[in-house]
Amino acid sequence: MTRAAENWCWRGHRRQVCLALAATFVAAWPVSSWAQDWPTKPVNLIVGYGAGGGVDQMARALSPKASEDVKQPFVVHNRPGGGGAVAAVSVKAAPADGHTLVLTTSTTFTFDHHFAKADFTVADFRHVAIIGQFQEVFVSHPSRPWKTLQDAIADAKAQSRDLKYASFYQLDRVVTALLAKQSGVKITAVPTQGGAGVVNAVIADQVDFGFTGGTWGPSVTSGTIKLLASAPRDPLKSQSQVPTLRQLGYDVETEVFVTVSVPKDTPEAVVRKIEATFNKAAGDPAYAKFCEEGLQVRHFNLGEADTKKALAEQSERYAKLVTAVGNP
Amino acid sequence: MKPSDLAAGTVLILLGLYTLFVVLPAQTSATGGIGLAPRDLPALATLVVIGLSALLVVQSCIAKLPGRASFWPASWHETLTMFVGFALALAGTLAFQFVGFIVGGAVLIVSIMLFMGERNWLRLLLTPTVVVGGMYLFVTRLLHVTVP
Amino acid sequence: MEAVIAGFGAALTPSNVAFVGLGVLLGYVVGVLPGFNRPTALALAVPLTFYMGPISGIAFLIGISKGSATGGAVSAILINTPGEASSAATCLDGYPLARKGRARSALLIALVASVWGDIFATLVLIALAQPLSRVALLIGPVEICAVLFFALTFIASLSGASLLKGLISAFLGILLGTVGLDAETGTPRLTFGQAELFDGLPLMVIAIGVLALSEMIVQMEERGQQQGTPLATGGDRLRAHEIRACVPVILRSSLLGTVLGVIPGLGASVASFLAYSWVRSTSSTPERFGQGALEGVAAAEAADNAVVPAGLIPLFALGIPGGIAAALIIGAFMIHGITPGPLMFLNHAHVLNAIYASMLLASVLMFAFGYFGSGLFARLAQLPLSVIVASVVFLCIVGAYIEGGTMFGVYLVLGFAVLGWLLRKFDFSYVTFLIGFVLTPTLELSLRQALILTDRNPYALLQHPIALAILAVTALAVWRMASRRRAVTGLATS
Repeated sequence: MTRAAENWCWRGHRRQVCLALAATFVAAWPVSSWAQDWPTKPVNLIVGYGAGGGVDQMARALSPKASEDVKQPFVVHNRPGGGGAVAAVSVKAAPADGHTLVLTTSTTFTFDHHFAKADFTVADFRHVAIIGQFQEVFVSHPSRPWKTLQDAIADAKAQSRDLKYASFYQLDRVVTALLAKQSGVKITAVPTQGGAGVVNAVIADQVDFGFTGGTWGPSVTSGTIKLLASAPRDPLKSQSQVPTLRQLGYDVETEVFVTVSVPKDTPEAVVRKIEATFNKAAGDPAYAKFCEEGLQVRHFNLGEADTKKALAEQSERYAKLVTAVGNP
Repeated sequence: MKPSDLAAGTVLILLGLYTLFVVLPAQTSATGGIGLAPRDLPALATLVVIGLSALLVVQSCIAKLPGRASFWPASWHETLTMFVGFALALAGTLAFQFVGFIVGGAVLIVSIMLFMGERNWLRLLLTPTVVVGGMYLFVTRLLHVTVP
Repeated sequence: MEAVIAGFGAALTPSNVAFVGLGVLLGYVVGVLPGFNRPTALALAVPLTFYMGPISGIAFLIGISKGSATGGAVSAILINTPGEASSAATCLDGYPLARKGRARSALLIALVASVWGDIFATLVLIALAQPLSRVALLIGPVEICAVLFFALTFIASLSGASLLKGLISAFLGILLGTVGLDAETGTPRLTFGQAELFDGLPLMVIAIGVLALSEMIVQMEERGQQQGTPLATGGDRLRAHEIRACVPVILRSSLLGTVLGVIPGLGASVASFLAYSWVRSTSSTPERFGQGALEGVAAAEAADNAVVPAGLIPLFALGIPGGIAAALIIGAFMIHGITPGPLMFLNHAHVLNAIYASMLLASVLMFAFGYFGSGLFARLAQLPLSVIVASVVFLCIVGAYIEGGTMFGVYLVLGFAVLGWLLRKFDFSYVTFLIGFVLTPTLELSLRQALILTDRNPYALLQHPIALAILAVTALAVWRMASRRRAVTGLATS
C-alpha cells in the first residue's frame, strides 16, 4: 500500500476510503467529479504544534466557525514535532482532496529546512491562507537600565562584555547573529524550553534579555518584564512605541505567519472553497479580537495568491539571512 | 561464570561500538553548540555503556554460580511466549491499522485470549464487545478523535 | 486565611460546585485512560470556559489538572500502564500489589496520597505563594543541574541486585533520552530522518512499551490458568501498621513534590520518580520495593499530585508559566481580564480567594470520586487473566495511537516491549532505565544553560551557594552509599 493510502486509512470512514483508493489509483483524473463537492465528510485540521499553544488556540478558535459555515465538522488534531515538520509530512502524504489540511507556522516551510531537513518543501503544498502573524519581541528584566535593545548593545560595547540572552529557537539565533555582526558585540544564545522558558529566565534575571514570540503579553502587562524591541517589520499592534529592529538601524526582521496549507495536487475548485471558508472564518471580528487581545498575534486574513507571494518572499529573505550570518 | 551476563555484556559492547563508530557519526553533528556539542552526551552515554559492559563481562567470568546456567536466561516456554505474544500484538496492530479499529481490536483481543487458553465462549464474546465497543464510543463520540 | 473562608462564599454556589465537580470528573477519566494527556484535556476544555465566570472557569481547568493527576494512578496500578506520564513511577509498586490481590489497598493508598499531596500543596500555595515564588527565582540552571546530579545518585540504590547492570540500564536510558532535535543547534540527533522523532521519544510510548506491553507478554506465560487474581490472604484491607508506615512517606513526598513543583521546568514525572527513589533509598527494607510496597505507591502519587498546585505558585505570584498546562490557565485568566502576577493579589484578591476555595473543594470532590472509583475499578483486577491481558494489549495500542495521532508511536511501543522483555529476562533494572530517560532532557538543557551562563568557569559556582550546598549533599550521599555497600559486601564475603 502506498504511503498516501496508508495514511488515509488512518483517517477512517471505510466507504470513502475504498472510493478514494480507487480514485488514487486512477490518478489520471485528479479532478474527479465527487471531489468538487467539498467537504463530503469531516475535515481534519492537522496542527503542527501541541495542544494549548498559540497556533493550537487559533486553530481551535477557527474550527467551530468553519464547521458552521460548511456544515461538516472541522476536527483539530495536534501533531507536534520539529516545528510543524511532523504535521507537514503527514499532510503531504494525505490524499489531496481537501479533507486533510495542515495549520502551522510559515517557518515550517520557509526556514526550518536550513537546520533540520525533512521530507517536504514549500512547493509540496498549496498555501491557502494566512490567519495571523506572531509578534516576536526582545524583553528584559525591568531592573535593567535599558530602554531599547540598542541601549543594551551599546552598554555591552562600552563595558566590552558579551550579552547572553534566552533563546526561543533557531530563528532568533540567526537574527542575533546578524545583530552581533553589525554591532561587533558578542551575543550568546542560552537555549530554553519554549516561549515560557524564555519568560522564566528573564523574570528571574538570569540573562541579559530574551526573545519570545507568544507568551509575553501577561508579563508585560503586569510589569514583570519590559519590551526592548520588536522584531517584525511593522511595530507592535498594542505597543507601537516599542522600536522595531529596523527602526533601531538593523537590517533584519522576523516574520512568522500562521498558515493553512493543503497537498499540492488538491483540485482547484476545492482549494477555492477552502480559501473562501477560511477567509470567512478568519474575517470574523471575534476571531480578530481573540488573536490580538488574547494571544498578542497580529490578525491576518489573506487568500491563496497573497499567501503564496508572502511565503515565496519569506523563503528568499530567510535564505539570504542564513547565508549572510553563516550557519550559527 | 554467569553466562547470561557474559552474553548481555558482549552484545552491549558490540552494539555500543556500532553506535559509537557508525550510528553517532552519521546521526549527530560533532560541531556547533556553545554549551555542549550535540554529540557529546550520546557519545558519553555510549562510552559509559561500553565500559560498564566490559566490566560486566569480566565480572561474569569471575563470578561463581552454583548449578548449570545458560547464555539465554529465558526458558523455552518463556521465549516461545515472547515470540507468539509479540507476533499477536504485531498482527493486531496491523489489523488495527489496515482493517480498522473495531475489527482489528476484536481480532487482537480474541486471538490473545485464545492463545492464553480461554475457551469460555461467553467471555470470548463479551470482552471484545465491551472493551472495543466502549473505547470506540468513548474515543470517537466523546473526545472526537478519528480512528482507523 | 479569613479571606479564603470568605472566598468559600463565592465558591460554594451550586453552579460553581457543579463546574468544579465536572472538571475533576473529566480529569479523572482522562487520567485513567492512557494516551489522553492533561494538556489535551485542558485544550479541549478552554473554549468551554469562555462561557463561564472567571471563578468557575479557572476552577474547572484546575479541577481537570488535579483529577487527571489522581486518575493516572488507577491504570498504573491495575494494568501497569501509566494513565499520565507522571504516574509511571506508580506502576513500579502499584502493579505488583494488584498482582498480589491488593488492588484496592493500592488504589486507596494512591488516592489518600494524591489527595493529601494536593491539599498540602494547595495550602502552601494559599499561604506562601509570594515568598516561595521569590525562592523559585533563585533556582536557575546551575541549581537545577545540581538537583539533577543529586537525583542521579538514586540510581545506585534502585539498581537491584547488580549496581553495574543498574548503571548500564541508566546510561542506555540517557542515550535514548538524547534522541530528537538538539536544543542548542536545532540539528537532528539519532532521528534516522524520521520527522516523528524530532521532538524525541515520548515518555508515554517508552512507559507503555517497557512497563505495560512487555509485562503483558510475560503474563502470557501463565496461559491455561483461567481464574482471576485471588484476593490477598486475609482480604484486601489496609492494615494499621501499613497506614502508619505510609503516613511519614506521604508527608515527605508531598513536601518534595511541592518544592520541585515550584521550580519551573522540572515537572511531575521527575518529581514522582525522585520521591519514589528517595523513599526507597531511605527505607530500612528497600528490597520490598518493586515487589509491591505500599510506600512506593504513596511516595510517587503524593509527589505527582503536589506538583499540580505547587506549579501554580510561580504562575500566580509572578506570572511564570511552569509548563503548557499553566500557560493554558494563563489564557483562561486573560480571557476574563485578569493578568496573573503580583498585581493579581491586589486587584483581584476576591477572585483569587474564591479560586483557592474552589481548589480545596476540588480536592474534596476528588477524594469522593476517587473513593467511589477505586471501589469500582478494584473489581476489574479480579477478572480472569486472559481477559485482562488481552484488553490491556489493546489499550496499549489505542493509547499509543492517540498519544501521537499516528501509527508510528504504536510500532515504537512494540519495539520497546521487546526491549522491556529483554531487560526483565536478563535482570537489568528497567527502573533505572526509565529514570535515566526521564532526567536526560532536563539535565542536558540545564547543563548547557549552566555552562553558557558561567562561561565554563568552575569558580562561577561560588556565586551559587544553593547549588554548592546541593552538590555537597550529593557527595555525602555517594560517600554514604558507597560505605553502606562496602559494609554489605564485606558481610557477604566474611
